[in-house]
Amino acid sequence: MRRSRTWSRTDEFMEFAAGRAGHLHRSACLLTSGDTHLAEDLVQETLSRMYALWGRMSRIDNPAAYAQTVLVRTFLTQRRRYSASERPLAELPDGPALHDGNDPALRLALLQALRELPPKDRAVVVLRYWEDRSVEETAHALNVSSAAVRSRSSRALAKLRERLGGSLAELRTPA
Amino acid sequence: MRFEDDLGRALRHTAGAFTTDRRSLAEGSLVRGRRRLARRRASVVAGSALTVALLATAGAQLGGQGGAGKGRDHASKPRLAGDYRHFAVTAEEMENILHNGMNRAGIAVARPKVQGTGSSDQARPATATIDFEDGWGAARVTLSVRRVDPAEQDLKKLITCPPEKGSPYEECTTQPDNRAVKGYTEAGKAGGVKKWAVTMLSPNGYLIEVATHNVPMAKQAESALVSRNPRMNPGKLRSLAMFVDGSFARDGEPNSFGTVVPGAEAESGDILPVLKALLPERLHIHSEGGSGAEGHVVVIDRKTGKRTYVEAMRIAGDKEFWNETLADGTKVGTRRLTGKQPGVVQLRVDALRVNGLWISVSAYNAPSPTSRRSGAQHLITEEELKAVATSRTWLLAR
Repeated sequence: MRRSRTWSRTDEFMEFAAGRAGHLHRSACLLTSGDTHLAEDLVQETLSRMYALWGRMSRIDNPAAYAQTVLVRTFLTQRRRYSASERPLAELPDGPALHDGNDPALRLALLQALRELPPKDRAVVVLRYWEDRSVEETAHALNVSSAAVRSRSSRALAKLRERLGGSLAELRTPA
Repeated sequence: MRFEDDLGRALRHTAGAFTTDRRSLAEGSLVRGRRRLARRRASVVAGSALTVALLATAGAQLGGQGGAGKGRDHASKPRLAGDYRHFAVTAEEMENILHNGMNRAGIAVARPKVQGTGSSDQARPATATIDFEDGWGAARVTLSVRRVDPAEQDLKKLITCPPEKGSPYEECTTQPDNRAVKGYTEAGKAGGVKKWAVTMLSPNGYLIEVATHNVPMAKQAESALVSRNPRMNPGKLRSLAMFVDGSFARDGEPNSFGTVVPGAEAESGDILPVLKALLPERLHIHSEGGSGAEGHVVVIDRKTGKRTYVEAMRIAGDKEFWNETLADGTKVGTRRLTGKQPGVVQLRVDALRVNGLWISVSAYNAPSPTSRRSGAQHLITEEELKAVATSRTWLLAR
């Protein structure tokens, strides 16, 4: 009986983890501005926390959204922990594994611009414009007020606009 | 096209170009997750050993800062309701309970800083503190939960106001439902540290204290002159205490209703999330549904495929059939009724609280009340159904 329960738990978790890992990894790549090794570590950390909660997971309304919130919070916690030793680099530490080469200039410029944002501003950008979350949902996920999200969002957009020349469309390499 | 739209599109293009081996990520996560659980279990064992050593000297003062019990053992042996020696709550769960309770009580919280300590020891309270901006300045709310046997006579004085003459409180009101609201100013501090506190003895076996101060930190109390009153009034504190009460189950552990990550909680007042939080963990939920005042799930035995329909609803009035009255005055009625299809039995447990809240929980040995029988027995027992119906968490679903 015990073996069957353990197997069932593992089975369910693996199904969830394999299903969500791709999306979480893409979010993590944006949060880490293209550091794929760090992104994979972040995803594994997030999913391992989900595993530890798995016994109660059936009671959570939206496990996918829950995992996304855990990912962002784990990212911010790790950033706080390592912020003392973190130094901005001129170049990305690890070239992103971009497999679609349609507009590499845009992507590299965007990742570099994201890297120059403070981690919390970056998280706001990712949640608002990649996850399409509302201001209120973003505020909940980051444990801050809606006003703080608006302010961070506005500041981050101004920086990105300045860094990316006002129009991302112009950065796209002609096909 | 707006810059935000361009940015969203560029983010999607950029993110979409990253690929990974999802299976190996999942497998790596599983290994880490197992290690994490093992560490938690080890910390519980270590915590228990330390507790034995500390018991001789440890005070059981409410509000004390215990060591952080960072984890708990979900796979430990089954515990009986009424075993008041078991207590297991982590620091993170305490933080989430306080934060969710503040949200539920409608307290505007800006720039919150939450800090908690867990406990795996009956004699040591678990605590949480939230420092925040309330619009007029800094404020702090503290929470302390200690596992107790509600029958202990010594606890009565904590929830009963002393005679006015010689009372340390400026105001104190003894309330029904084993609760006291106390307001006092600590003399001798610059400006006076004003504090409102609600102390509550839960029939589930917890002594809960929530308090608000008019200063953010004890250090500031020494120097800063503070004239304003605590912003969180006793009514809101009482609501917060009720949330904490509903967040802990009878077995000495919190339920997912209170400990969900803030922001991921369900709409308040809905029946379904409460029902899901109260079902025994061993049950696998196959499907779910419901409106605000009714919620149902279909649980499944994954080996046999047998299914049981469990529904809960809040009802305004019905034929009364009480056959038991609990210590807190809650009337409980249990019935077995014949279903619409041959062999289908409806197990029904109703609980009517002294405040008029009437919750009815039923289970059918079928995938729906009108379906054909799915197995001879229900996947949930009558006792488990009764525990669901009589849970104090329903008080939060009104």
